[in-house]
Amino acid sequence: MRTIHESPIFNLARADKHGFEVNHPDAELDQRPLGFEERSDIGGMEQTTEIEVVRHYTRLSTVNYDIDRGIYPLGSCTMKHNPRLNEAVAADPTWRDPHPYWPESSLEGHRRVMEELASDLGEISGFDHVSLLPAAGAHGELTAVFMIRAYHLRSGNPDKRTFLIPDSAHGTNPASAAMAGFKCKQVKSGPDGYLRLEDLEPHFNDDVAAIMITNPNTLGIYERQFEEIAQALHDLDALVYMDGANLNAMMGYFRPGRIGADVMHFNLHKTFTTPHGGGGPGSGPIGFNDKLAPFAPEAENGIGPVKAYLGQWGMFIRAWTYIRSLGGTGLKQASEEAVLNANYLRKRLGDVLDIPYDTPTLHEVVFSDKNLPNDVTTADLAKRLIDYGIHPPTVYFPIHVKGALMVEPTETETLEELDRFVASIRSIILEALDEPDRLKTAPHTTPVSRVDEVKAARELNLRWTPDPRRI
Amino acid sequence: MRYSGITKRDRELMLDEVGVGHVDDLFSSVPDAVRMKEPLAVKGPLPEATLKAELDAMKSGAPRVSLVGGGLYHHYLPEPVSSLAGRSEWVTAYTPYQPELSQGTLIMYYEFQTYVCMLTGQEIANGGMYDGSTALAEAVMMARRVRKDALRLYVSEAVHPEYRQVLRTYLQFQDVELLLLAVDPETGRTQIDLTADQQKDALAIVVQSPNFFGVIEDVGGLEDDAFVISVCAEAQSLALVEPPRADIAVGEMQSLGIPVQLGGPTAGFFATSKAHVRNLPGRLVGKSVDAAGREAYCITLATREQFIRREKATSNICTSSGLMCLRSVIYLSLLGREGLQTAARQSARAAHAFAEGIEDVGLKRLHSGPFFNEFVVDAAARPGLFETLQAHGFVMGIPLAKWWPKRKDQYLVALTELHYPKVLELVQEVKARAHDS
Repeated sequence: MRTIHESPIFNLARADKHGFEVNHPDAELDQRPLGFEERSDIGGMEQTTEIEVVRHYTRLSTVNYDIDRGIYPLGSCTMKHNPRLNEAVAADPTWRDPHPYWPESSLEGHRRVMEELASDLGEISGFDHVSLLPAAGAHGELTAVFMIRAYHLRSGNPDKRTFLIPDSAHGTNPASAAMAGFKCKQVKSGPDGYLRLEDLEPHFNDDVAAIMITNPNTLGIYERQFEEIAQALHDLDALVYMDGANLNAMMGYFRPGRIGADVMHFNLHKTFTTPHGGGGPGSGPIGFNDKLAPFAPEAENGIGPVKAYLGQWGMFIRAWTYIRSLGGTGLKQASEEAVLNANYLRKRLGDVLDIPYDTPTLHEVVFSDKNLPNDVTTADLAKRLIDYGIHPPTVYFPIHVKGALMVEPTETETLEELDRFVASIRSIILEALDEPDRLKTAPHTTPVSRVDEVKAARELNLRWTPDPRRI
Repeated sequence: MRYSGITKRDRELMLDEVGVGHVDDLFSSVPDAVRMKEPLAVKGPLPEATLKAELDAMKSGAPRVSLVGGGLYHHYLPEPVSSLAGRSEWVTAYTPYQPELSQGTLIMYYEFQTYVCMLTGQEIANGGMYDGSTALAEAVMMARRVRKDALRLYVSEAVHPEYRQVLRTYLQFQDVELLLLAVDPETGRTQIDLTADQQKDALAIVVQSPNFFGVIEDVGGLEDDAFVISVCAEAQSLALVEPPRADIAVGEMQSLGIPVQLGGPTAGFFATSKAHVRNLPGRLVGKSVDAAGREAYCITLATREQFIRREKATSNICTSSGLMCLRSVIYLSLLGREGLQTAARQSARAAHAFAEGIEDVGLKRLHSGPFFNEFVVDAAARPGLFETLQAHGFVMGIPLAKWWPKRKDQYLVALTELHYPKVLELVQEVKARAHDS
């Protein structure tokens, strides 16, 4: 069946069509003047019919790739199955509709879910305190960065203004640090892919405020000097921020709060199966120790709230449901199988794709395009994978690996699906030898081919406007 | 384990292939001293039916009537919104980094940007923020980039108190001086008694309309060169109330098709003029063409974003609020201008009829300024009435003493099109309780 080309819905909208009606009018009520001048036009907004709306958003949805269609092996993104149960529970009006300003007696159930979730996150991460408030992972980072700044100010160290950030870090790390006025110093990873204390030491001085470490790092490698590094930072009265994006590698195996991290964020939309939704909403609670507790958003003299209301409730109840569905043993098994699946892919593809670091990896593995024939790049391989019905892995990240291809299968994939991924990559590499152009012009089977991103940036068109030729 | 993809047999095959005897061997890089010896003390596993029963037992009762707003409003949620937005093709997709596989999500964001421009009257908008409160904080951060030397920020006291708190959190380590603009006790409007020079030199002037007290603001007297940030926490009002002139318009989309869900997740909007496009925080989707010249969409100006620009990015935002943007886009498409204005009129009429009706028992509107669907009631003449109503499951508003201890007996009351068909009954109920007490 051919895909129907769909353009923005405004092309279907007309003034003579009728919009959805919530209530019938009440003649008596409607006589009342409102006491302000009413806006007649809303920027040219018009109506579409219900069937047009249903078809448009159904058709648009079908030109998306999604986890329910197949493996989505984006490294650092933990695209695992989003259980239907979570969605059903979150959509229950009793849980969905309450207002944060209702009397507390109406919110007792919600409070209990939140308390239990916070307590479970604390248990999993080894932190004594959890704030559920931040709206997403990067927002959790920002909250932590504010807390770190407050900690140093109150300790009489206003000049501690430098964050040490490894070159393998997510871009959100330096961006969050900068938002609280910190300077970022990038530190090179060691030759085996992990951070070495000796490479950090030259940067040690009085203005170091904190380090931001992802562990396992974005290569999937356990930071084996984590404890020593944490100790060295603490000796400088600096703090250790752990990026929790890769929590899926460690549940039941090790706990950041017990090995020297002072604060970390959780991505409920990664580890705890709340959906990614095409770019959110996420939820980014943070865990922290006693040292930082006085500065928490909820603390009396803390940094203050980072978001209105109580946090991403809709995500809390999904994550709670997931955690209860698995229990402690299930969570550990999830990490175990996430690591097994990633190592299986590493083994099955290690003979055809370059692995820049020989070091053992946990839940994800990074390959590079170094050995690809005929100048085929990571981008070409990724785009060709689309023709095989598979969403490409994360590409060109981490940035310190040239032509990186970062693969994270997660524990919810089956052996058949992992093998399909392996077979697809191997087949593409054979194509690269014989017909590299098929890769370089890929994808060939999607509703659109490679999009001209340069044109998009040069001739900015960020909103629909009526076609002047339209009658 | 529920949701596990592999079987015991698969596991053995795979361990064999990898060349280790036990799965724990894969964790050999984690030093023994660091490893957890005890099991995770987390309750479960629970099968689906048990889990649902447990959750059911935890439910609390909802009020019978709620006139609670304050930035989050119970509006009618049309069935097609939840049904379409619940399609797994939307729900389980990632951020659209691969445009060939994400045209659906990309076109949705483009539509969202367009709708925000239509509602706010601005030239450009981004693909959404976490919510209204963080959108305001990011707007002030953007003002800092655009107006480098200006340090004095004027914020109306009638901006949502939680938004102001969030703003303080974001600004506490900066040199910005935050000054409050008082509210005229008579009209409920912000008093902007700033000289032309004060306005010109300000980092920004932040005004919410309708403001937290429900009053529609008038910023017509502001100088042309004042940098104005407008906030809107009740987006339905934009259907009827002309948006104030603003250099940045931010707000909360929750009223347009998003459930209240305790205040999160929702979606924030962020709009401004073309001149500021490179200073915008958040994601932008642009229209382009594919290799065959066909209309196609992609993320654009990503060089502002954290994953490329790192510490020089305009914001740290990555995952934002996609699904909630989708809900608002479907909602707006379904209602169109006509349906949206009808719903907005019904909200306003319900609120106006209620305000007038309860005057009979001495519950007066505190302010004289024009209002949309929310207003402050001065209940000093009827001590205890709100509590009595609440005891009967009728939550008639938010006590303002929550944020302003001196505002005793003042309640913020909001109505929407959901109350429109029964507003006269609600008035009767208030009157009946007033006579009882």
